[in-house]
Amino acid sequence: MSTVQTSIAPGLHTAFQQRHQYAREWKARTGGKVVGFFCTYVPEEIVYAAGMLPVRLFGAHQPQEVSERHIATMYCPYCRDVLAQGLLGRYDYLDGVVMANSCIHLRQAFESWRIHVPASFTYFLYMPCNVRQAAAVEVLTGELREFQSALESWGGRTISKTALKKAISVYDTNRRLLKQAYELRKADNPPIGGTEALDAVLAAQTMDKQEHSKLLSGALEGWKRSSTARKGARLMVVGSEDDDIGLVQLIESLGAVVVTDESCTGTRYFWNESEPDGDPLSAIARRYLKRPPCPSKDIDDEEPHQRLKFILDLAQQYRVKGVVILQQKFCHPHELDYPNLVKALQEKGLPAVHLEMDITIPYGQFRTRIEAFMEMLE
Amino acid sequence: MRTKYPTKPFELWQKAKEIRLQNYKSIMNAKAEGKLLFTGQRGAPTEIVAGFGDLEFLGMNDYAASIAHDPPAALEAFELLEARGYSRDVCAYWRCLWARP
Repeated sequence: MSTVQTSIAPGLHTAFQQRHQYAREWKARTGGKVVGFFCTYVPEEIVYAAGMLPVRLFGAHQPQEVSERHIATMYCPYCRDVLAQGLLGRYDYLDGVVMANSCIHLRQAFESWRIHVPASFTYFLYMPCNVRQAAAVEVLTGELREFQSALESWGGRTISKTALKKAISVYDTNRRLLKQAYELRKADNPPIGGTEALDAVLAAQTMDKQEHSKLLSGALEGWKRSSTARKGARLMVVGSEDDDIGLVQLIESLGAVVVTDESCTGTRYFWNESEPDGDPLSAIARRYLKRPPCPSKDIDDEEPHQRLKFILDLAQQYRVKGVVILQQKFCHPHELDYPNLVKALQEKGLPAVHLEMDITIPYGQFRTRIEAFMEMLE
Repeated sequence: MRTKYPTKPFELWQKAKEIRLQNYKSIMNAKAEGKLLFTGQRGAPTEIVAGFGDLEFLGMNDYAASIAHDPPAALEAFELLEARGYSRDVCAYWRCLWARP
């Protein structure tokens, strides 16, 4: 399905659609290295402080037949699609790739990438599974120190404390701006819809953060002054990685307004900022450990289901009337959370529809299901 | 069938079954006998837990394999989990374990 540019923030839309061109141009004009990352638990700030451009790896949502020789078809579509882009040479401008320990499927995609796709730097960063465990800060800070050291050896320059602190500031500023954009979605008839919000976050994951902040600041001013008033059932999108802008656009074309989300292409990516800390690496570690958790990290017997609490809190803040659960097919962490998630939503009187995403999705079938869901909400 | 190397039935097969049965009986009786009973992956460092002394360990991996080898038990596990909302494409080992702890 084609996507349309929005009148207020066409730059954000184009930035993501033309992400490969953007990264190539960035590289040509700065002479810096571009580093692809597989998971939003990769601490981009350290890469940025090294003078490099971190870009999140995305698929193309096109049929392909190259990844199945390397990882099984029951690996999640996102992993297969991302690996396919590497194998097809569409990320040939990357100098390095980094993976943070999160889910097994994504790790296997990374392991295959580091074998079959040329890159002068590949790094697997251990990220604790139990992010709320007392020892996690010390463990992750140590791992970040190793990561910093590896980047310094590869990049041939030292990453100073000042550079790290500046990167933290740049990233926190960007997170704050994204949160301001999301604040506008709390309005009765918000000037910004789910499509524009997704554009903004996806562009943030593929652009230089300072350049993105500048673009986003302009868009924010436009949205604040806009007379656009989106009307429709207030929906929330919850689930796996989702960069399929056409799908959110489909939902909104059927009379809904997506007012918030819970995914790593949304709130989970930027919701929390760093807290002051004398050691910048410790500050980065704390920020990633305390971010709204991916289900693969929502493990703690003493404080269970923090993810569900985050979702219910957002639903209340944004006065959500229904939830669309978008899940990458075969995604175990999300599949294991699903029964608890539906139960928690039901207890709050929130109806939900579950859509399973693949590399390409059946728009006709999804349209029918969303239409039926919308009728149920009326 | 001609084979490159000489083969013969596994002489200890019956003995292996007896040991396995004894292992599961020990696990079943652990609580009654006042022993600690714990479970975990076979890859977990059980040496540390062994420091507690008299205990029995239920290895997740082999227990899941035992359930999977018993079709009625596996089917019961799968139906139970599906009725509770878990997807059919979630790892079958995990579903065997989760349904029949």
